[in-house]
Amino acid sequence: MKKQKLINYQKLKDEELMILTSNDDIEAFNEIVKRYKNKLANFVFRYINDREEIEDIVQETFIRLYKSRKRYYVGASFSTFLYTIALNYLRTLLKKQSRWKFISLSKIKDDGEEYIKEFLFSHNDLEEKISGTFTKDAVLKALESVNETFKQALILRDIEGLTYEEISEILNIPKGTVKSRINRGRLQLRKKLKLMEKQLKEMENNL
Amino acid sequence: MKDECKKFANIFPDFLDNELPDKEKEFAKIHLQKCKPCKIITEDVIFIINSLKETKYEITLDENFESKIISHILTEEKDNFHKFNTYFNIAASIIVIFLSTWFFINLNNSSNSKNFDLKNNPIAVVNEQQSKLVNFGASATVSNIKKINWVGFEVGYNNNNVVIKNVFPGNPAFLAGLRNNDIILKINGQNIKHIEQIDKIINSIDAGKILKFVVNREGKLYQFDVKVQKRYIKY
Repeated sequence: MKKQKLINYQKLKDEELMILTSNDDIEAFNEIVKRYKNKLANFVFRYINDREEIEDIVQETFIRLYKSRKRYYVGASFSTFLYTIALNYLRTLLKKQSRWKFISLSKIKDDGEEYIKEFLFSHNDLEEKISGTFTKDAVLKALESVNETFKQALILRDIEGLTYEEISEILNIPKGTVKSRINRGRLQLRKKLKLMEKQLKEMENNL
Repeated sequence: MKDECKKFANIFPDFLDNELPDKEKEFAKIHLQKCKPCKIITEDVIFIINSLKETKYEITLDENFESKIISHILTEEKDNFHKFNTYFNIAASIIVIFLSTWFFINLNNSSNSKNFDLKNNPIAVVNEQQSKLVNFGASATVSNIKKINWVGFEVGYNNNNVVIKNVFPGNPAFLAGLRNNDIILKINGQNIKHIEQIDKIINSIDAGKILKFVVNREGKLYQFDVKVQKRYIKY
């Protein structure tokens, strides 16, 4: 029996599509994959550089999403659901390959004080601004060397554009911690850019 | 100055998100005019945020990526079903083996214990008699149960027509759409004039098969497909 196409999937919201998917509507799932495949691939790209591997990971993530479709409940944010699955999978994968740098939580103080210290510290060592001298590619390059803990939050916030609430659910940490991690990540990224700038200048002087 | 910078650092995240109350927003603006390092940091961070936000997709996947995933899922589900089937078969056969061995062991045990009890333990003899009685009762009730075909309505006569008097909700007739006061004209093409005919027809086919009812409801003709159900009754 062929099902009649009564629903215009392209006009539905992500959450509505996911609800249809959790009721075994494979076409709704098709639309979800269509919408999120590139987004997810570029998200994975922040952790892994091999293109073929990325494709495999994205595929596995979507398959996991479909398998856990019954766990999705009405009212949950779809991004949270998807990124939680993606990050959990990435974590196990990178743990296996020991590419995931583990930093014990006690070493990183997540409170606001640490962030303010960093903010005031960056007062002293840098006087000139970096704006304009760097391309966007350089910023992404510098992002790779940012501390893993901050990087996660920073990517989810500034590249993927999620809300603090969603990130706090995905990473399973309080909202205040998310905020401080993001901002510390930004400051660290700035520091890294500054360092790159310094090295470039030295290279120019040597030439 | 340091204290002011500390205060600014505190509200800096909300300042970036544009979520500050007016009073603090004013403070931030004034502070940025006064304090050069804070201004530089702010501009840098805004530049960083903007460049991250504008990150374009560096990787685009094939257009047939969706269909690849979906065919993968569908084949996997099929495999799972087969797996489930084999597991189910294995489990079922294990249960059958277990039950049959249990049955034989019990058979042996009961004959053994009988000999033992008769010799040494008079109380056990009484118990055995009781259990025999219970067994009799059980087998008697088994013989009182009868299997019939069932659609779930009561019929009667009205002006020489066979009319449905009562449809039990949730039963096959009700689910098919038959309602009270429907006049039954035909079942499986056979004209209905007597109630006995209906009984014969229903009991002549296997459970699970479908009966085609033609009824007259308020002057209009309707056709309903009723699935016959198996049902056990006590009598």
